[in-house]
Formats: sequence, structure tokens, C-alpha cells
Amino acid sequence: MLGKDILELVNQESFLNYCFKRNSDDVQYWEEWLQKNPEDRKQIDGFRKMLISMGQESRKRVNDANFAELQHKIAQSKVNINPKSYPLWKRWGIAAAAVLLIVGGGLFISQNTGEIVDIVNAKDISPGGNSAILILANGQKVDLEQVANGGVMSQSGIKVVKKADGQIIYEISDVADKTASDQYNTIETPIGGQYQVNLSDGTKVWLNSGSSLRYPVKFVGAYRNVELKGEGYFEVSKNKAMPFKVNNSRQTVEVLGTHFNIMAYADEPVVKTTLLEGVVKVSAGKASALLASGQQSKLEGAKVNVIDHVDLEDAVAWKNGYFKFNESLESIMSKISRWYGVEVIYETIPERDLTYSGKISRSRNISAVLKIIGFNSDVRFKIEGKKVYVIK
Amino acid sequence: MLGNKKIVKKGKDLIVDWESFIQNGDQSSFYDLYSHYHDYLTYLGLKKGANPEKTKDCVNDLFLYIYENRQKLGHILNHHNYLVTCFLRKLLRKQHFSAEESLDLLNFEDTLVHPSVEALHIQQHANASVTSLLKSYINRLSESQTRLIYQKFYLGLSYDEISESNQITVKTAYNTIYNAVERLKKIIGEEGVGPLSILLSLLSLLILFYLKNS
Repeated sequence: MLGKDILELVNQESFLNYCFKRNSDDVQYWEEWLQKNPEDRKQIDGFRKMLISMGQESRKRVNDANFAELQHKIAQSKVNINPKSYPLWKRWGIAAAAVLLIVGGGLFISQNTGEIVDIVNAKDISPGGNSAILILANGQKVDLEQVANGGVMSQSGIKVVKKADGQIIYEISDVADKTASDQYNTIETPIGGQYQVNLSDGTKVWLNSGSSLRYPVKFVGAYRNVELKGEGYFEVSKNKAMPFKVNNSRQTVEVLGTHFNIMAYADEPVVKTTLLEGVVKVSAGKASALLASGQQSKLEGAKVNVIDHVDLEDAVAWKNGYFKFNESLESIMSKISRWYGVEVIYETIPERDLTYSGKISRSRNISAVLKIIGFNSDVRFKIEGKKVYVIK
Repeated sequence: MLGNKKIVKKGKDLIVDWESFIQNGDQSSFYDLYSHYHDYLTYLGLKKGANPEKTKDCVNDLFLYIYENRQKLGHILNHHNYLVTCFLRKLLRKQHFSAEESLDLLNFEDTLVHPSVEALHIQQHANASVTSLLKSYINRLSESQTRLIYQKFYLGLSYDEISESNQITVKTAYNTIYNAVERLKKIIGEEGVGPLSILLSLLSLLILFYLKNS
């Protein structure tokens, strides 16, 4: 038996050639050796798999890190592929935004109108946009849509500036009051609203519709604590001395500095945390999990499940301006109802096991989105006022 | 979803991606090209004794150039030879080896650099929790450790080649790899990856504990 000596095989090029099938003589040699020593086969097999997996995981890490460096160079460089430029990863799907893929069906593009979506009174429903309410520390509510671009609100020496594109930024000036530290602000997006806020530590948060974020205007103490309701995408600025915590009634996510999305709507049975970069710790009650990039945790009841290799684009599509569906009809409709502010009424019960997938811009009217869903399924829709009926 | 079907690709098979990037600027094609040639060119560079840092810079310079100049590259018929030649030229400027030598590399079998069909099978069928365990383990290693594992267990370079390009002794290269394997093996236990999935829930707790205290 090999026992602990198996580790010594790492030193043998011929064994590694066998593991990675790089040299047929070595493969043959080791196959024969295993026939003579059948008792070692199980151990050797397990060991081989481990080495292969180590190779693949380390490759992923090296490749990702180097590609990230390239993206950084591209972003810094003046020349860009499109006049309107986003970081590379954000753009992956946008080009294909109009393309629809339906599982099992392939590609369908049709000029079909009127059949799938029946609009009673000919009133289509327009999409949501950049709107939010900012609640200041003194309780004053500011409708950000009413604030002019470049407008500044000042509290205890901390400036909040409204940027042109649905964005507010916190700026700490040198004269910031000591009292700023225990002041909290809240930003709330209505149904059909979205907003971006840059916190005083440089962390960027995108809020999806029907969500809110409560945060101190200035971070002090051992942790940077914020409270999230609904869905948000976070790009947390690095500060190892002061971990960032996103609290929610159902879970806490702790990070040092990284990019991730949390979907925690009160009316959704599952809380999903998806990590795009770095490492985060998700805890809920006694359960906790460490997520690596590309992983997603699903909190259902008191259980945290970690899923590997999730489609990251799915999780952040909303932030990049489109819907990307790959789920049940009910789940799709709840996203739609949050963005278009409609009530969904099922006159036919959708099959839960059926997965619908597709991709479309969030800036289209509701009928365009429903059409995409209807093209290759047996459901149809009727729009009446602010109600959407799912019919056969 | 797509992505379940993976076959071992050669660089020349990526002509579709090359064209869709050159013609339409397709970003995911660009990523696929990068992802493939990153391994291949790194392999060539290291095999030539260039150090990993320089090799990476040459790969990234090349891809930055392609990204910015795609509209000028419509005339390239053989993207594979183009990429390899450009890369070697960039490397040559920084490194000394003869041009004739580099020509032999053009027709080099690039499947050698990429995992065998069997390796892909293992990857696809690995238990999700084992993969996530491995992933968090690899992510905890230092950058240089990860790099050596990549060179050894993915690119398949010999200890001699690794020692030369990384400017370390063969013994150091070997010890680094050995220690990484030993530590992981200790974490996973004596049974090997396969049967261990059962114990994993328990083990991940241990790892969390370990990570927390390290």
C-alpha cells in the first residue's frame, strides 16, 4: 500500500504525465503498475482527480486575475470600441440584449404583434426609471427626481451631490462635524425606480426597484454597517481595517472589499447573494458560508446553499439595464411587476418546472417584454390598466 | 443552458470567435480568445524561459493591441499564427532567443496545454461542494503558489522549466507544490476527493474555522 507515500508521487514527472495524459509511455507504465497493485487504485484515482482539480482552479484564478488586469488597461486607455463606454464585463450581454433564447426552443425572432399581448384600451405601460427618495438624518424627505442635476444637500459638513444620471455621491469635507458619525440617511427606490448611491467611504451601491438602503453619512467604529431591503449591487471599497457588513432581516453579508449582488425582497422565498469578485461571508442565524467569486448563496428558510459557476450576468443584468431571465414564469413576473409597477393576475397556473429564458432591455415598454416571453410558450397576456393577466 | 458541452478546443477552432470579435467587437468572443491564448502563450513564454511577469505583460499588451485595433485587423486570415507571432515578437524584444527557434513553435500542438477530455469530465462532474472547497482553498494560497500550481498541474511544465522561468531552485519549486498538495490533502482527509463529499458539510465548517483564525 502506498499510504502516506502517495504525496511523494508529486515529485515524479512520469506520474504527473500519467495524471495529465501528456505522455503515452508514462500512461502505459502507470496503467500497468495499477494492474499489479489494484489495492492502490482507489487512492491513486482520488489523488489524480485532486491534482487535476487543483490545476483547473489555479488556472481559473491566474486567468481571471490577468484578464482583470487587461480590462483595467483597456479602461485606462483612451481608445474605446464604442463611443459610449462601460467596463468590459458590463458589456458582455448588452450587444445581445435583443436576442431571445428559449430553452429547448432555440432562437425565435418574430414580427408577430397583437396576438401574444392584448392591450385593452391601447395603453401600454412604460418602464421604470431613475427615481428615489432620500431621507435625511433629520427626517426630511427629498424626492431626488425634483433635485436639479449638480444639486447639493449638506448635512453636518457632509455634502450629498446629485449627479446627472440617477446617482448621488457623499463627499466628506475637512470641516465635517463630529456629529456626522451618528447620523443615518436612507435612500428608498419606489416600484419602478432605481438609483445609485456612492457612500462616503467610496463604496458604490446600485438599488433596484422597491428597495432601500440605510447607512451612516460617515463610517466610524469597527464595522461599516448598512441595512438593505430588496435588491442591491455593491462595489465595496477596500478597507481591511473596517469590514463592510450588509445587514438584512434574514442574513448578514460581511466583506472587506469586493463586488456582489444581494436579492432579498421580502416577498421572495429565497435570498440570493451572488459574488462577482473577491470573498464574502454570508451568515443567517447559525448557518454561514464563505463565497468565492462566481458563487451564489441561496438562503431558504434557515439553510444556506452554495451554488458554483452561476451565470453572473443573470444576477446583475438589472443593473446593466436589461432583464435576463432563466427561471420560472412566476419569478419573471415578479421582476416585471416590480419594474413596471403592475399587478399580475394568473388566469392560468404556470408550470413551476418550466424554465423560460430571454434577454431584453429594461427600457422597453411592458408589451415588448411580455411578447418575448410569449413567443415560444403557450402563455399569453392581457394588459388592462395597471393589471397584467396571464392567460392561455 | 449552454456551456455544458465542452470539448477540447484548439486555437484554430476559435476562428469563429476571432471573426465575431473582429467584425462586431463581440465581447464574449474576445474573452474566449483571451482565455484560450492566455494559457497557450503563457506556456510558450515560460517554455522559453521568460519569467511569468514578462510573459503576462506580453500577453496583455498583445490583447490590448487587438482590442484597440480590431478594425485594422480584418485582413488577418490565420489568427493563430498572427497571435503567436505577435506574441513572440513582443517577447523577443524583452528576452533573448533566436527568431528561428520561435518559428518551430508556430506549429506546436496546442492541445497539450489544455486539459484532456477526461480532465474536463472530472471538472464537470465534480461534486459542487468539493469544487467550492477547492476553490476557496486555492483562493487562500499566495499568488506565487497558485502560479506554480497552474504551471505544474495545468500547463504541465517540468520542474526544470518551472525552476528556470521563475528563477527559483528545482527544490523550491518542488517543495512549494508538495506543500500545497499536502495541505489540501490533509484538509480533504486521507480518502481522496471522491468518497469525501459526504463529510464535506462538516469539513467546510472546519475550513471556515481555519480561515477565520488564520
